[in-house]
Amino acid sequence: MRTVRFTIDAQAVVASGSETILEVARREGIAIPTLCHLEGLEPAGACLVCLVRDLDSGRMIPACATPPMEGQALDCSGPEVQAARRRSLELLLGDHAGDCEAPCVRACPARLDVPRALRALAGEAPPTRVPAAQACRDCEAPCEKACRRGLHDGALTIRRLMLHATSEHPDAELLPPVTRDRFDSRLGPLRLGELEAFIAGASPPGPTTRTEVGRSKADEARRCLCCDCRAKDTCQLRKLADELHVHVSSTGKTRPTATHPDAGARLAFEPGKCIRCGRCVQITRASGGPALCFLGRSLESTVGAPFDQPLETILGPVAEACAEACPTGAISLRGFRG
Amino acid sequence: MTELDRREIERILAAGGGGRALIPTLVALQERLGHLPREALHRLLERDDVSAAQLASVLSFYPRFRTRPAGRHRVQVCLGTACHVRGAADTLAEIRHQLAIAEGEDTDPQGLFTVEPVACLGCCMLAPVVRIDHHTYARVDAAAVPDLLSGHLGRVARDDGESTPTGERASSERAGTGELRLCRCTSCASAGADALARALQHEIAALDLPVRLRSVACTGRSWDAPLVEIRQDAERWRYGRVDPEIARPLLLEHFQPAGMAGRVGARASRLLERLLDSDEEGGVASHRLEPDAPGQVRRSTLHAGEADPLDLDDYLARGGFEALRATQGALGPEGALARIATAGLRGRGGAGYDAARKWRETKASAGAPKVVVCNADEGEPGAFMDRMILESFPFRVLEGMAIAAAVIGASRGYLYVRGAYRQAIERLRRALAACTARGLLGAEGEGVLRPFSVEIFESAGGYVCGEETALLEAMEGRRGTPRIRPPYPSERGLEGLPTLVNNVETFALVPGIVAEGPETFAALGTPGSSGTKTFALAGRVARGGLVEVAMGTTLRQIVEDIGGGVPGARALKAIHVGGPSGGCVPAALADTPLDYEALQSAGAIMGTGGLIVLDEGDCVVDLARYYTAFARRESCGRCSACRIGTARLLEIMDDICEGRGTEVRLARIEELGQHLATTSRCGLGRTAPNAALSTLRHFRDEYLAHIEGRCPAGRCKALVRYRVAEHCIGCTRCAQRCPSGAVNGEPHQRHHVDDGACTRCDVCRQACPVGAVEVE
Repeated sequence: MRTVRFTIDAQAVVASGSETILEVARREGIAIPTLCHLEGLEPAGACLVCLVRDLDSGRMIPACATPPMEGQALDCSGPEVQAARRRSLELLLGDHAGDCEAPCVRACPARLDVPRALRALAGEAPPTRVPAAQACRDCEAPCEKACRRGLHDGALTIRRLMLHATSEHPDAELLPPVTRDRFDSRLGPLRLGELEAFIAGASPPGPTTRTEVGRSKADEARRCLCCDCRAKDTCQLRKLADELHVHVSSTGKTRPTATHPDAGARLAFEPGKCIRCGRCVQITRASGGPALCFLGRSLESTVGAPFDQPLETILGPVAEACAEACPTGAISLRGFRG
Repeated sequence: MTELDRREIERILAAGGGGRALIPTLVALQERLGHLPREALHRLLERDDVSAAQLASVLSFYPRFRTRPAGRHRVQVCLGTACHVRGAADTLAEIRHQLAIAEGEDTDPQGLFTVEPVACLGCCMLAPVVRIDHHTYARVDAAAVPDLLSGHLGRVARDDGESTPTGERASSERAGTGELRLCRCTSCASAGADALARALQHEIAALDLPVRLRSVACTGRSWDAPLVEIRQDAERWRYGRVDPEIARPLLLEHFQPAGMAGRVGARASRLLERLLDSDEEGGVASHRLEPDAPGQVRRSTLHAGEADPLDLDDYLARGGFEALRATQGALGPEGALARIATAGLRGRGGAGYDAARKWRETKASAGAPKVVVCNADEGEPGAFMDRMILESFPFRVLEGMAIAAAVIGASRGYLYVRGAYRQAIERLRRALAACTARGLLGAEGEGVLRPFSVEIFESAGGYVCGEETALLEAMEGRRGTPRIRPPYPSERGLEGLPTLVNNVETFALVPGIVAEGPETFAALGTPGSSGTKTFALAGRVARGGLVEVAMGTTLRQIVEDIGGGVPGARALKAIHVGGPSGGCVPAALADTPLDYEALQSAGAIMGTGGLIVLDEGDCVVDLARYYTAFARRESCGRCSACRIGTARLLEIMDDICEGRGTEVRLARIEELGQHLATTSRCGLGRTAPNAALSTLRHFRDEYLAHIEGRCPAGRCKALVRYRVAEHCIGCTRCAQRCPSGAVNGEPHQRHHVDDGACTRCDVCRQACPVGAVEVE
């Protein structure tokens, strides 16, 4: 078998066969971040957060898709490499439309996880206990001012609901407050049409009562738009932003249109959050059934179903695998929506 | 859909299909049906070898494919660099306005015209250029649009089938004492060469002249097109910008009618009296040309103006295919390769990689059979070198490919040709057929020489497909996404086979080097960059066109000695070298020699050879924005740097051109540019920031002026205002032409521009007969 000797951060390593730089590094315990690469799939070389630097040429190389060359000296942790990875990530984040945390959570002085508590209250997630008794009692409820529904048909009565949630399940698991020091992607003010999409996506099936008086607490909780991201705890984009100390979420003037999954669907697809890693394209292609594909070119390129076929039909048996592989919240299973 | 269409679909599908044949099949369907109707796509999907995902991803990637029905006439508006500099965006806007095409649509409500912007039609000296169906219209500024559209419909109504774009019937078989030489390549044809050829043919027959009309390889003097050369005995005369009206006096100036001397002679003399003996405008003498300015060295364009592009005997008589015979005979493949190496030939496709090294690497790669691919996907705006070479010297390119095949041991070859190059494709087909019939090329057993069969692959567009690995992806029926290298194509190329990809001009240079030995070639140019290079010279230059010069020639020599300098009173400001991947070289550095390394240190690149001359009236920031927009649009979208980075870069450039720039954002250009240049997946992304970076480096003051809200050249629309000066004569032409009703005034009174309604389309300024419309 062909062997290639080279160095990573001055450490002598050997690649055998068709091993890529990333595979050698992982074998040697050298950490290189990745977003588009997934073991077992074809290397994509798309996200460019796995960049390493060829010390001779100065060129940045995607480690996931490049086999090493004999005698090559690679820098895998120097300041230039870190800066380049950070820039790649910034570019991706600037083209990623979605909030990690909901506006109400950001506004909350106690950082209570409002959407999650409301989902529990609505019966769409397991019951939780909210540490709201002290926090909410004398609060001026900035959460309600931040609520996006306020722009439409009135903000949710969050304070009242949270206080109610405090007492309803005294034995349930305590929902921890949302930490402040995590990276938080921000959508900012919604654009024309986006709020409507959010409302349409959030409205539960079945009749709702327009007036506040007639609504049950569960009904009122169901009005929540769930502005937070389904993948907020698993999102690799967010995790990497934390690791690389990236704080800005938008580097560009324009961002993709924010989308909201359809109510009732088992699968949530939010193309605005997609970073075009192509993992789902590869997984569906490998499954032998109908496949997702890249559509269009340039910044307008998207990942989607060919000829507007329904996504659920295409994903079918590999839906869970795709949701799990998705490095962001672009494809997720609506577990907590029921 | 008619029954005939259905039968055609079945016929095309039976011949083509999915996999590697997908793109050619889609191209054939669209050529036949005008668009790709749902029914045809359904039939295609019924096949086992096409998946919905493959079809949808390919359809949405290539700009050539359309699934919506098109209008009866196809209007292609060239947005190439030369056209852009001369106001093509205004022309496009005016055409859409005249046709009342709604936002987001491309076809007028009557379904008569479909208007599509195209990257470049390669007729840069005739800018701005518009092609409608098969007719190319030159110098169409916004003010000329109304006449253009009605004129085209009128032309179609009385069309006599002249639209065959190639029209190779120019060669008359009749022997004669004199010879008329005329080039009918795309550039010359759009300047009127086809109509002229017909007029000449008609007059030769009518006057019964002993003259032969020959179609010859283009001299590249696009500014003088159509150009006629008359040869009689040892003498030669050249005439430029010849219109059909003077065909007869021109012929009579040089030839005596043979037979019916009395009648014709009398008529001729009347014409002679009227037209010939005066030097007045329109007279024959006023069209006579001076000899070529010295400075050109012809290698890839050898025998320009002499050889018949499609006459194989003519090519053979001039030593054609001797180099191939030598390679397969006495000299041997190693000998040929050694000559290429000694000549120091570097790839002319842009990067300048050592050709012999590439050949050697492909040859040494394990795996067979090997493949030769000629990259003729010239997609950069402002470049037409490859088109000219393909149209005028198809045999030379084929011979170059065959030599490469003999050297590396390949038996298959492909010409990946840009789909918009209709005539090049047509001429290549004929040249290929001629070579095959003669046994010079072809599959095993057909001829005397080593088997090498060549196929033409018509590209479906996309600038990125000029990148060699994206090109291979396209040939395999997928989206043109560049591959990550290594492995290089020399190791694993088309279908995993070792593949040699060279550009048209590289192949065209090969036969000369192999036939006469490497010394002459190596003696030309600089130590690092030997031989010659063709350039498409356009923009603000008196005599633009295709030029071939020795490497080491300075940019100034090309612009001033060969191009005749900048016309008018304005001074040279800069020369943009190398298209979207290239950079802007300021006038102060115009003495930079043509040399891969020297150009690079000036902030440009050799590229494929587009030279756009800018004068003081051109805005370099606007030019940089133009190229950035091009890169952003043409990005394949696969890697984050290019997909998102070019978009961010364009946002900054837009802001600067519209007066919203800040100095902080200039630093951001540098930072983003650096990221793109070092991390992008392929050459498109790596060179995408060059235009912005080079102009920022050499013209920082101009960027700062834009930040302050001024466009020194008066070209950035958001920063200028139109006003009518006092010397307005009140002729009302501007008010009549203004598409937005922004110009008002009484006849014979000074007019005024309503700034709020003004769209800065420049029509009023072009329409004013006294130059009273000013830009401030």
